[in-house]
Amino acid sequence: MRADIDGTPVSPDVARQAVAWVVELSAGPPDAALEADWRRWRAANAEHERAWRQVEAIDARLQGLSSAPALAALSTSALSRRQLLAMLVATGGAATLLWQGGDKAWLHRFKADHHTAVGERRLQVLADGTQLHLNTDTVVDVAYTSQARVLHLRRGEIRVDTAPDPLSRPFSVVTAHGRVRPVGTRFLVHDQRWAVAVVVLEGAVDLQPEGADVTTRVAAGQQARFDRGGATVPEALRPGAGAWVDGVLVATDTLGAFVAELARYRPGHLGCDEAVADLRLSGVFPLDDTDAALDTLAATLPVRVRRRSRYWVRIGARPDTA
Amino acid sequence: MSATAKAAEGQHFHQLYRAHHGWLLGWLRHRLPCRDTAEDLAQDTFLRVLTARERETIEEPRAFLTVIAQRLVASHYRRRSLEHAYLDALAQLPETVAPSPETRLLALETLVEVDRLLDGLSFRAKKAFLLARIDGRPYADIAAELGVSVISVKKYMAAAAQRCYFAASGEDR
Repeated sequence: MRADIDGTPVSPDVARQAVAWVVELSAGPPDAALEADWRRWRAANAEHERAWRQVEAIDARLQGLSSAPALAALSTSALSRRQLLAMLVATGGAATLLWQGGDKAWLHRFKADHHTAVGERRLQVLADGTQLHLNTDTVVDVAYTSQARVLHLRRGEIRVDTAPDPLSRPFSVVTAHGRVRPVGTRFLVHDQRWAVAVVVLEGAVDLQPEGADVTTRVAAGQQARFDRGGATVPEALRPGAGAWVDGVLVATDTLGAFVAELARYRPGHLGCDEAVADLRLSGVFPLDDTDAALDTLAATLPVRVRRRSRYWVRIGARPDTA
Repeated sequence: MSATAKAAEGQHFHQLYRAHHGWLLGWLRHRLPCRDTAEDLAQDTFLRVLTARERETIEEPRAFLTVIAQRLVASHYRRRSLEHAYLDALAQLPETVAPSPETRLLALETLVEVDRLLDGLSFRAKKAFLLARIDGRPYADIAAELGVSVISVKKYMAAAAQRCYFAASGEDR
């Protein structure tokens, strides 16, 4: 992480002074008097300034790291990395993550009624017989009361196969953008962060966006999206929608679109180069073995799968062989 | 170096490469599951030989090559282990903004460097430094979390900052 502006290292004495300033300035909230002294030190001579620029250049690189994962990676103790992350989150680390993130969905992961890890899929049967299928990286809370049956979709994607209720309680799925009210049915709800996508397989659902006064009905064989402001006009559902419940992903469009979908099921990075993103792809791929799915891509399309590690994979053009 | 000396050195290198590249590749393929990586590290090894200031003819070429290659294999595994752990832990956190692949890559490079620069410090020292410099946590907070005094946090900071920012400037405290 070389940052010497003009190549020669700063002298040990100036380095020591700069380090002392870093230590003082990091201690706590800003202190006008301290900062004035620091500025005077910087201005006092060119080597001081050069040393400080070096600190700033390396700090710029450090800011690209997330502290909790970095510490988990740097840990050399006997604790497993997962334990360490859980600890970081449970103690003060949690507050820091909140400042950085602003999204409380992760908090729910540790207290939620049901959640899945990245790549995991699961079926949960609820007390009334309703079948709740959880897709990858999903967090759901169940709030069944004597008046109503409510699911809170905090994150991810679910398929719900509602069961008739002996108590005839209304059913709804609450998302960050509004409610989805089924009318005795099988449907999928996917929290895509900036909107919620709904696909109806059987029956119908009513979408009630949080801020809008309009209810949109989506019938079997249709899909729509909504956010706080409103809903799209329902359109025919994409073939293969909801196939994850059967453990497969259906490609019907471009390689780029397929890879973006497949990436949801793998931890780490999976990306596709612009050069090959528009290649057409169709087929059915297993979600239980995403590596096999990637190998199949390389066998059927003029692409190459570059694996720098299990957690960093990119699809690109196959290099020409001379 | 005179032109003739340079030419002789160049020749030595070519001979070394011709005689031992294939063998080295085989050696590496036994230690690395991925063929591409083995090829990259073989090239890396010879590149280091080329740029080393070794003037004399290498007595034991294969032993010499394996020493360099062994170090590269170890750094490769260390790097992979850091990447796995970092991306795995990162995947547990919500993404407020999805970083570009280039940003991710740079973050991993930074992590590998930080790991190298802070090597030898206690985990507590590394934690104090990153929490202070990345998250801006005040020392009182960090001290409470680590179960140490604020003075200890300052000592950790000084040791880590010296290594991280001024590794090339000699003596570290």
